[in-house]
Amino acid sequence: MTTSNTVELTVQGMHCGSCALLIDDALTDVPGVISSTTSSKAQRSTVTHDQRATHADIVAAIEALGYRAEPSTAS
Amino acid sequence: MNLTAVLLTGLLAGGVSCAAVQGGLLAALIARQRRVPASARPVSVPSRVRARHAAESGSPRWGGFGDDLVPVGGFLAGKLISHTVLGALLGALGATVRLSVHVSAALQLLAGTVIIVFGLAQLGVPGLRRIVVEPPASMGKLVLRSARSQAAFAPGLLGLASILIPCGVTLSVEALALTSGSALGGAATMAVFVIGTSPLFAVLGYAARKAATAWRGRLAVATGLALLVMGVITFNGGLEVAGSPLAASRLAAQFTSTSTGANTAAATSVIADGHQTVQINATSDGYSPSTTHARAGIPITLRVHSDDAQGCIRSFTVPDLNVQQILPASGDTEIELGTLQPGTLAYACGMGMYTGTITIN
Repeated sequence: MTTSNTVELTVQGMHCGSCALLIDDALTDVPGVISSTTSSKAQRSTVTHDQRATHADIVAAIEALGYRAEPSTAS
Repeated sequence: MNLTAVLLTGLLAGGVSCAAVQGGLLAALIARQRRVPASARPVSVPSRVRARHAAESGSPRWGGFGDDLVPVGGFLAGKLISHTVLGALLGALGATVRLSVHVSAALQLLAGTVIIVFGLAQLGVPGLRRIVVEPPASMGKLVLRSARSQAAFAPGLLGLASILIPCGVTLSVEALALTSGSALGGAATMAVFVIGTSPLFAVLGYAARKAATAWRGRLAVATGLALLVMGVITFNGGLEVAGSPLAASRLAAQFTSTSTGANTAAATSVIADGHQTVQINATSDGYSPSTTHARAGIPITLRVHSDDAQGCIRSFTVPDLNVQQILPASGDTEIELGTLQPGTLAYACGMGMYTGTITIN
């Protein structure tokens, strides 16, 4: 059975709405990521994923775009 | 702000900002399409990841430069269309509320203030950090759907949809379009801005994605500074139109007159039959001479000789007398100023970018 987790990340370096969309677009390509919602205003990303994606995968996908990311909470 | 300044804004600030971020969305879209042609099977997740990695690293396997021109051109064409249409709408809206010189000045002062606040927010000034314009989630989803479409016209669609995700620089240019005073002026402002973003878009957003990746997270400071400059220029434009003594040209004139004495380049009025005529020229470079002298107590006719006058230079204002006159591109326009008391009378273009004064002695 597949279980899903939600992680909230603090993302630094976003300067407009396009940055948030770029991050969501990239996270959608990460195997195991079910959904993601990123806000440039809140400087946060909320990512729901299954066990195929680790927090490190998610952080790496965001940082590959040139932003800085750090998990702040997880459930 | 004239169109050359808007073009430079697009070329420098807008180009970098748009190219690094929207270019990333476009590059990933093209990579996905290259990896999985529209007629082929549904995209598997691993192949999409590989496609993105190819996009981010500039891998040559997703086509040569010639092949890439079509989707990049499609994106830019879509972006140009949506931004030009919005510019026309904003310009038309601005024209309806531009009741007088003073309202026009107020509009520009407000636009300048908003742009400065955006810039300070972008720079992370405490208390302003939360002032960020973020499109509604539904708009974001629409853009994301365009970015992930497999349709052949998807790049053009993404370009059209990019109007929904403006960065601070784009918002500032939209504010300028609002103050341009006409649908045509607004459309031209936005179109020139998008055209200005195109070269850097092609280079940074596409051919040098690695560089764009490295810069992306550091753009807040660059765009914040660009916004501050634009905001100050726009705010000063409002001061010029309002005839404020704090406007840059008035301050500069004061400085010049105190440091060098009388302006030797100034012209004087021609007096005949108890009437005087002051002539100035309006060309594509602005108004000349910058200072003209006239006599107090004698009625003044201001003759503005247009010679290939373009853009906002044709919108001639004398704020203190509430005069607003549209000049022809070529030809003479006579404006009765009446009998004036000693002092300085400032005039400016409708955007406050080009100015001059008449000194009444």
